[in-house]
Formats: sequence, C-alpha cells, structure tokens
Amino acid sequence: MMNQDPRSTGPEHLPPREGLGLDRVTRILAEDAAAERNHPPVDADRFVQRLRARLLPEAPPSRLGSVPWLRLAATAAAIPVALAAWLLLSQPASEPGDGSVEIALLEDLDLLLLLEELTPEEILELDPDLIGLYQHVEVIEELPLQVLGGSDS
Amino acid sequence: MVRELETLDDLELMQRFQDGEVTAYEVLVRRYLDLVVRHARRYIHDLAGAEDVAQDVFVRLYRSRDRFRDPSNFRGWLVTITGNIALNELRTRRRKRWVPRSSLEADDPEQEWRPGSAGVEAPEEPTLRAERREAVRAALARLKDNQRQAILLQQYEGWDLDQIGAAMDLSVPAVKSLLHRARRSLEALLAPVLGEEARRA
Repeated sequence: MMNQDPRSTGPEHLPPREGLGLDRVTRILAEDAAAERNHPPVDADRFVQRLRARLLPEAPPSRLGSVPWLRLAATAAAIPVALAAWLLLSQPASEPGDGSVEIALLEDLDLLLLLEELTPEEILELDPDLIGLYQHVEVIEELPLQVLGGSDS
Repeated sequence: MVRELETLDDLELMQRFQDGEVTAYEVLVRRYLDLVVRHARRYIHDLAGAEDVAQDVFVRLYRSRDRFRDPSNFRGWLVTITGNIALNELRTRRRKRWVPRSSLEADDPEQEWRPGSAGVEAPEEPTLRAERREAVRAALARLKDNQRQAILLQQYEGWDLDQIGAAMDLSVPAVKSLLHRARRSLEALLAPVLGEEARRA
C-alpha cells in the first residue's frame, strides 16, 4: 500500500472549507425548529368561529340545491307570501308618499326581485299609489316618464 | 357525530366535505390549524398575520372543494398553498413598507427562544440567541422559494424525502438535490453572522 504524500492536493487534504460546514447549518436549523415549538397554540374555537363568519354568506355545499324539483318547490312556497304582501300593499289606506313601511315589507319578502321582472306596461296596470313606492326602490328605470309625472320627449 | 368524523382520514373527510358535509370541513380545519399557522409564521412572523394567512388558506380550501383532484395529498397541498399565500402577503407588505408587528410589540423573539432547560445563562446569551434567530430567518427568507419550502418541511416539520417529494411534486433525487443546494446557500448566508458570533464567544 502506498503511503500518501502529505502534500497531496486530493480533496481530503484541502484546507477546511471556509464557512460553517453543512453539519453546523443543520444543527442551527434544528435549534431554530426546537425554539419554534414554544409558540403558543392557536385558539381553534375562535379561529373556526371567524372562519364561519367569513363563509356564512356563501351557500353551503349542498347537493339539494342542484335538484330542480326542490328549487321549484321552494319557489312555489314563496308565492303565497308574495301574494299576501301584494294585497297588503294594494290597500287604499296606504298614504301616498309614505312608503317606508311598504319598502321594508318589500325588502323583507324579497319582492323586489319579482318587481324587477315586470315590464313597464305591466307596471302601468298596477295601483297608481304604488308608483311612488317604485321610485323609492328604483325598479322602474324603464318606466315611461309620463307615468312619473314628467314629459316624455 | 364530530367524534366519528375525527376518526376518519383526510381522504374520507374530503370526500364527505365534497358531498356537502360541512362538519367534515371543520374537522379538517381543526386537524391542520396548527400546521398551517406554524408554517405561515415562518414567512409572516407575527401571529396575527399568520392567522390571517391561515384563514385565507382554509377559505381557499372551502371554495375549491369541487376542484380538489388529489385528496390523498391533502397535507402537501395545504403547506404549498400556505407558502404561496404567505409569500403573496409578504410581497404586499414589502410594497406597502409594512413594519412587522413583531418588531414593535408582541412576539418578543427572546420569548420564542426561551430554552427548554433551566440552565444558568451568561447575561448576553438571550441577545445572542435572538440575533441568531433573526439571522436564520433572514437567511431562510433569501432562499429560492422551492429551496425554502423543502428545507422547512424537512428541518422544521420532520418530513421525509418521499413526503416532501409528494408535496412538491418532485422525485426523491430532485428533493435531495434541492435540500443540498438549500444548505449550501444557507451556509453562505449565515457565515458572516455566525462567524462574528463565534469570534465574540
């Protein structure tokens, strides 16, 4: 076996690499990771509450929502409520110009969505007392001006 | 009900969630909350900011439930998304020249470095540790994104090469190479700071 020349330039005889050495880097990272374990745990209940509040406006991932007949049934159930509100609002006792109660009712019952679907002609056939109310709720952008008391040039 | 769900693995919980069972989603959130916040804090050092990132991660999970293709790699997906969202948050903060809360009030770095053993310390010891911690954080922040993720998962989470490869969509040899390059980079980045520390000692 040959004796190795101490002046050999092979890798094992190179001067130690300047710097820290990979082992030391690993050790430093391990110490850092150990220190990290002292972090206080997160309050999971509070975190989930906050998450629920953020996700609440979104529809839950329900398979029922994709079944057409269920959606039809839900729409059908809403019709009597809408009709009742309609009758209530058509009473002659309602004061022109004081539509705050009616507006609240309309909003509560989601009638606005129904009104939006009416054509201007259909709106013209409704109780004239309600026209002022429609102005409040801004669903009559396309209503002819003469109905609102202006001139249609 | 919740107890029964807690016995299920990630894959089963994701399937239940995809079928509309929101409770399964919440079980997943609780199961991985600590991991996500811990990982986020390696980027965003204040707890409040890390929790905000975690919120965004779980909101993303909620919204993308139907597009979730590989529930078997749920944990890997979570840490990848956490890293991405945290990096985005960091970039936003840098743009706005945001001052980290940790440097002003809570999250005392000395607190984080409190030793497990109750040994007697030289007066300058906590300062040295805090400085070192800052140096490690700064060095990690300067790594390339994929190097940082690999080293964090291995050194801080204790994941093996297979797990890291699955999370990062890399082969085991590629992960090894990434980790080696990450260590070399860290060695270079930490050398000036720790050399100084050694001289003082």
